[in-house]
Amino acid sequence: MRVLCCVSDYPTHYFPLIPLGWALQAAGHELRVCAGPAQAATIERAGLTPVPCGPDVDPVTDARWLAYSLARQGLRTGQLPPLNPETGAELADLDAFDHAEFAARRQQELARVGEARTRDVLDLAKSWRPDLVLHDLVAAEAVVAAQLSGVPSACHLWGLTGTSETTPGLDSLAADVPAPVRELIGMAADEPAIRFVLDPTPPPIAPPTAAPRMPVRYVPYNGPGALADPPPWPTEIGRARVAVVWGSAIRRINGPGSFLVPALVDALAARGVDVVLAIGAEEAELLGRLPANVQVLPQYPLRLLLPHCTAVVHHGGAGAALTAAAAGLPQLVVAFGPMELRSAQRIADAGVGVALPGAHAAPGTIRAAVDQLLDTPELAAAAAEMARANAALPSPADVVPVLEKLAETGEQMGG
Amino acid sequence: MRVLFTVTRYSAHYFPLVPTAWALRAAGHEVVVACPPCEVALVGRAGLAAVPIEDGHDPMYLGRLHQYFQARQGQALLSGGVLHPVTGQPMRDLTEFDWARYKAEHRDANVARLRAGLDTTVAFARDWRPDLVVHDPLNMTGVLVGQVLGIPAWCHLWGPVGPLEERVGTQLVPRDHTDSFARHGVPPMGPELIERIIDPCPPVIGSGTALPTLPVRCVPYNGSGTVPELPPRGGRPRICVAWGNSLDLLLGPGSFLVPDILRALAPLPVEVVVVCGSAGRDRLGPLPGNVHVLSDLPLRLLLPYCEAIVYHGGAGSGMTAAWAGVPQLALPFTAEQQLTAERITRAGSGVWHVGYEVGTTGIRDAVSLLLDEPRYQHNAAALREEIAAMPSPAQVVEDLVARPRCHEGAV
Repeated sequence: MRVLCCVSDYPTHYFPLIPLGWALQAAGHELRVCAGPAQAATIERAGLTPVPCGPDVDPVTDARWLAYSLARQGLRTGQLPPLNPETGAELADLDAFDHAEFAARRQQELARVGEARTRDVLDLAKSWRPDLVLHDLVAAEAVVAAQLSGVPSACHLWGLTGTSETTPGLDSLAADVPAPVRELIGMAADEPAIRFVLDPTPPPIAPPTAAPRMPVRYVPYNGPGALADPPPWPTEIGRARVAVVWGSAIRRINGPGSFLVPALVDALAARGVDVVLAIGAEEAELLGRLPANVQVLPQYPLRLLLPHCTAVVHHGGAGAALTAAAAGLPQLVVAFGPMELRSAQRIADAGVGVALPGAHAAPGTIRAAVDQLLDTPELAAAAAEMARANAALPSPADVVPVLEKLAETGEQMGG
Repeated sequence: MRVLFTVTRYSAHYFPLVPTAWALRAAGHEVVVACPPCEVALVGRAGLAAVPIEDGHDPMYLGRLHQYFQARQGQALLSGGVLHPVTGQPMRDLTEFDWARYKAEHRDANVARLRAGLDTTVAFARDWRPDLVVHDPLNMTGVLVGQVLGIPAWCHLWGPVGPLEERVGTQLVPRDHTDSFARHGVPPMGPELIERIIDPCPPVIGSGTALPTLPVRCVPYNGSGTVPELPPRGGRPRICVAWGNSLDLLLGPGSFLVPDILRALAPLPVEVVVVCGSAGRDRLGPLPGNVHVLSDLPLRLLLPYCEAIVYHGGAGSGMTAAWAGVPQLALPFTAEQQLTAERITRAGSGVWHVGYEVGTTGIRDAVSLLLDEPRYQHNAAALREEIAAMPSPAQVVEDLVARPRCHEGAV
């Protein structure tokens, strides 16, 4: 069958569905991945076939805009002061930014992008005639394409963010089709835009979903990576090796004050544990001289690194959280944005990790959180249990027959 | 389960393994690809994790060496001379390369390099403890790892030429000139160590070896790429002219037939899409309006929209044409390509002519035949259906995993 997939312009939002793409291709199906032109190289590099659609969107601008808007509404607690959404510069105070002017302009711009992208996706759907449409949480153009093509659609979550979130900032993320468009394409006003959910989060940390949900085993893909600089492979007996994962977008969204890697390294080094830093080259340069037991591995595939670690510290990104979950490691999540904070809370609530809101992070609180991470055997036990639960879920390969049936009959999936 | 792939430094030889690797990952298994450092980027572009530790000979060097020895026996393929085996540059005469002297000067360093690659991969495998190995036919590292660790090694074919061929120039299984198998205490490298194969060919075009074989549906992967905007065909048949880089590297510019093919097609009422490397494009000069050149485009994204393909005899192009159900004209040069062409057209889905003998009229007549005789279209469609009915890579993975240590006869 032919499967058309629409994703948003943020690699970590579509990396979790890459293995499902491989599964479809390995079963002989064809897949086209629609995204902004700037994503084409990253999608190609995953072995899938991109179709550049519409102009690019810089998700960092919108993440900063969300932070700023929440702060204006007084809904932003425990977070750093917001940056100028447009430039990323630090703001003296909220009024130092002309929000009304920016909001009006950005809304128009996003509407234009949305229209152009929807047009491109519809063109592809018309000429390529897909049997099924897949999409991430936010790609509403997929729903329109599925409706007009008369084929079923399914939403693949990117992580711990569901379709029916109530947290401010997350509550309006899920793809929807506005009333005038519904009228145009013959879609009933009360028909849910998201009809099925493929959920790659293991049960204890699964987010709320409103549509029928099919769990999928999370198979980590965090970019192809290469083992160009292998660390000593066997874990040294008696010493923990802790991985610190820190995305490069954190600083751009939350400002220089959010770069907590040095404080985290200090706290971990003080405990005498070996540390591996899975961070980009640009972040590594900010670190200066590192203690002997700290190693930077910028390209190393996280999934191949974590089996040699005993715990993970990260910023709350879905890729890091889910890869740690699949590896069965307890995690310390130091989060800034609303999505990451919500994920951190879910991880703490499930007893598989520790949550530390980034704005509360100071040397003392970081040390306490690291101690809690390393000294609470219950966290490791619960994390190991979660990995077993993940491994017992249907693999992406197992999901393919379910999608084949969905395409053929439009029948809802179980689960 | 952990699966180690070991591949040689030529992408067309390991691209057919990629969908099998995807299938393993998608079923939740772990895969890494031990490759020469120069292949890291291309392995990564397939979405796979590369381990740059393998360091076997460049198959193009070995191929040029073979052409050189053939020429010394008066059996050069092209009259224009052969390429220098080491530099790949055209030689005015055979004395420009002194094999005895080259061997005397470089043998020790080459042996040390080859041994280091083999030893590092064995050490990595001992540490990573794969449950099985998958390797391409030219790669002996996977065979060594399988022997040393006592795990199954699967030789994953790229097309119709198998590991046990007899014809000169078609024997793919490499030889170990480094004493490495003995150093590791296992039987010497040879065809008898190839114990099981994964074969992407349906029986009608396959090599038909008696080895335990897992047939796998060809899911063509010829590199990653973006869907091209195709020129309109204006109601006329669209002919794909695909010319891989391997002939340039093996035989030199004298083997670049694309200008001849374009001259042959010029009088025909067809649209032509040429797919070749960017170096080839520069050699084409001004083109008529019905000829379009697309550089470095994965053929699988183009062939479903073509009525015929003319190509250099590479197995990757031939298998993609078979998968797409497109009638093919193969113009092979080397012995391996000729055997591929013979077998891949056995189903009546195409014709082949020796590339350095065919001439413009021969090409034009052959393409006209493919377009005018409906049986080629019919047979190509039948071959496509036969391929589509084979077990997909996803299904083959179930067999690999269920019976990893299978040693019995045909599986």
